[in-house]
Amino acid sequence: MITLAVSSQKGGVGKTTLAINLAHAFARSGRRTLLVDSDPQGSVGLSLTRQSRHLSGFFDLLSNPSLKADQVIVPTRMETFSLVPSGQSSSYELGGGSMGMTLYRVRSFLAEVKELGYDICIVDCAAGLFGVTADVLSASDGVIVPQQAEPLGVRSVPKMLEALTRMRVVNSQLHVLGVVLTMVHRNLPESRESAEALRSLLPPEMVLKTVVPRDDLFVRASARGLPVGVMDEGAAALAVFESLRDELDRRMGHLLST
Amino acid sequence: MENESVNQWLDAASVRALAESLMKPVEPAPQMTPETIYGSGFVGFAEAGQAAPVSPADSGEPVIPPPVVEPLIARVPPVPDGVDTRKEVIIGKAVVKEPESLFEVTLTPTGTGKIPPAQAVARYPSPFKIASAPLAPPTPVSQGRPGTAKGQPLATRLSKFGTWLKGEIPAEAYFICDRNGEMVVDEVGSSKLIKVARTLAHASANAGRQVGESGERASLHVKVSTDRVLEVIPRQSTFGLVILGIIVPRPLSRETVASISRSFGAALDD
Repeated sequence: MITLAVSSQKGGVGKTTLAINLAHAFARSGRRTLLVDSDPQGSVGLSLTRQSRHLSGFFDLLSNPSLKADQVIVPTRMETFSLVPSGQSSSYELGGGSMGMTLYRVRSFLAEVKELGYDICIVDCAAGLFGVTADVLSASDGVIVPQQAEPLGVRSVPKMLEALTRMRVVNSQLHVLGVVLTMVHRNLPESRESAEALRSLLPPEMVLKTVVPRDDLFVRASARGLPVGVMDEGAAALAVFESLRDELDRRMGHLLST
Repeated sequence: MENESVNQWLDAASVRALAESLMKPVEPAPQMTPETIYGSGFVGFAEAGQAAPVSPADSGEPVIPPPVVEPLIARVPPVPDGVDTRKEVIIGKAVVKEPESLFEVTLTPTGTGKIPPAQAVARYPSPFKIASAPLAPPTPVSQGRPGTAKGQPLATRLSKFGTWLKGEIPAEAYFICDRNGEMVVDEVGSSKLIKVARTLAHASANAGRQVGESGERASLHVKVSTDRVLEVIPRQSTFGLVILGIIVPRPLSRETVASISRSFGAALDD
């Protein structure tokens, strides 16, 4: 099993949209895919399941060692696509995670998920590369970094790179699979220029060719609790994330068990 | 145009270099050199998964006596009477004069100045062990306290504390540093042990903050050789977090740690 974290230093860059739709694209390819919400705000759950506020999830696993992975996995109508909502994080937030214990539980959880036969686990992380997100990155095989194609996004790049460098000290096996440009507004000169600036700033192999456009369809899909690709008008968006999946497949190479 | 605007906000060359380094596999950490201070029996910092050294006795090779431990801190050369040779030491924001005696202490692991042969022939399945419980009955500590040093310079107080410490427990050597690793007393001379002590102390302090603990904590110790343990006692003081590291034959009991911690705190804050 391959564990991919979708993580960025900055908030509001489209992490959850990327995680949901990328997981859907992997599931469509026939691989058993688990989407895990490690964001206490529970964006994945809120997007895809209406009962998410009542479901146990990732943070319950962290605070309750007796809980097992299969008790928090929620199936979807798609056989190959399951998710783990963030759960009731309040008890975890109150108690906090003792030193090293959160990482231990994250690793235990991922080991259980692997035992359950999943091929790929995509973890949607909260903004910032610290706390639980740092533990998730410490246990992941790869990280995908969504980067907003806006001037502020470009200016945050050094901090993101520094944080990833620190993470690779902890987890030397963490592969930076690439930066995905998100919220690209083709009609807005500032957005286009920001995208071009990022491509000129970063090594070509770091920035994925596929970009995620800014589209009202994402909002509508989220409102209906669906990945954008299954919407009636979602063919173009589906193509975007399938292209992204293909690119990642090539980058993951030997890491990915198909 | 866009590159110009980017360059106004960040150093493109350094960002590029950082990004390129991220796309390369992480090189394996350099092989650590043996901690000669503790001889070939030192097991604290072997690489994970690395086989522990096989004893010469087991391999059939002739047993080579372990090296004699040299004094760790050079003696201060003699100076004319009346000249103040004390060094200034910074703890937190305070600058204090350290008594010369603090720099004259030498490490003598045994009465002969040699590491016991048993240490060199031990075999360990795990190269790095953190003992979860005292390995032997706790070392008793008397109700004694360091000789009164209230109002005296910090270095004097710590010197008296050190004397008291060695009278109370079988401490082979000890060091005191602040949270940034600035050394106040160093009889050990091992940057790695000091780093371990700081890591443990910070972890303990962080864990304590997370669960709202305060005051004294349980024993923090790491086995550093067959018959030596590094006991770490962090202490919050007016200088911030100050860390005491003691080399002892076996872990200290919670009560002993509490007693030393109180005396350490008194020496720091009196």
